[in-house]
Amino acid sequence: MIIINLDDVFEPIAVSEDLSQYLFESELTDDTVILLKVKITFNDEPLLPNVYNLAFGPLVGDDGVNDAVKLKHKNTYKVFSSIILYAITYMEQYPDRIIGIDGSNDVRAYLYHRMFATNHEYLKDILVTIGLDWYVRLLRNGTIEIDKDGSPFFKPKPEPFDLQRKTTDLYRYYTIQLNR
Amino acid sequence: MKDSIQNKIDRIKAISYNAPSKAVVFAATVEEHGDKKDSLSKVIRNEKEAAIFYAELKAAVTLAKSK
Repeated sequence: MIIINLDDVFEPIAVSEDLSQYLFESELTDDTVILLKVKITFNDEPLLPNVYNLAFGPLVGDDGVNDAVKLKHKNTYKVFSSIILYAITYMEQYPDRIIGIDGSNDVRAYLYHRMFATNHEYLKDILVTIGLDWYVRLLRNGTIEIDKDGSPFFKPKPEPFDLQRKTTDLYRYYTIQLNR
Repeated sequence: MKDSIQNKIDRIKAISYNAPSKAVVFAATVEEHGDKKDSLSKVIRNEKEAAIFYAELKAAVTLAKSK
């Protein structure tokens, strides 16, 4: 269980001028200190002009972030509290922007799902969390709608984050935005 | 929002304004382009679907706020 406490966060070592990137240090359980980067980027879809993605992890190359690596932090709560506070800072600067979290990575989706569920009461006055599933239309002839490649024609369906929903039934995608 | 949290946010913003090495550390900006399409982008194929998505998202947010 990850308990968010926005009063107990790592102060970033550096913050980009547009508030989209943050560097901070975290101590791992083997006593090494690792430099982590939080990076908020446009998802490159003109049809979704205000949806941005958040990635965090150790630096890769000059500008990349390895957000798939598993790290054992001494203070996981503080790491995630920091990431959430940075995201809030970003959205306060750009109030019309939404941060999207792709659930295609099960490990990361599981982590965020549990974090949102556990901290709903604490965060609800600051953030609105939405979960998205993909749906396929059932046609009148009993088949499902398919695209030109023959794959199911998925459509996103957003709903308020369901606190009763188990982690065995993760959403495909999550969005967070400021509760204004 | 609690004053203590707002103070932390203001402190972070101050770091962004004052960081001397930010140009080196953060070479790229959010406006850069590349293959960063996520799974949501892949299920929004045209303007009509985008409009429907935004309308449903807005309704979900309104409902979430009312709970």
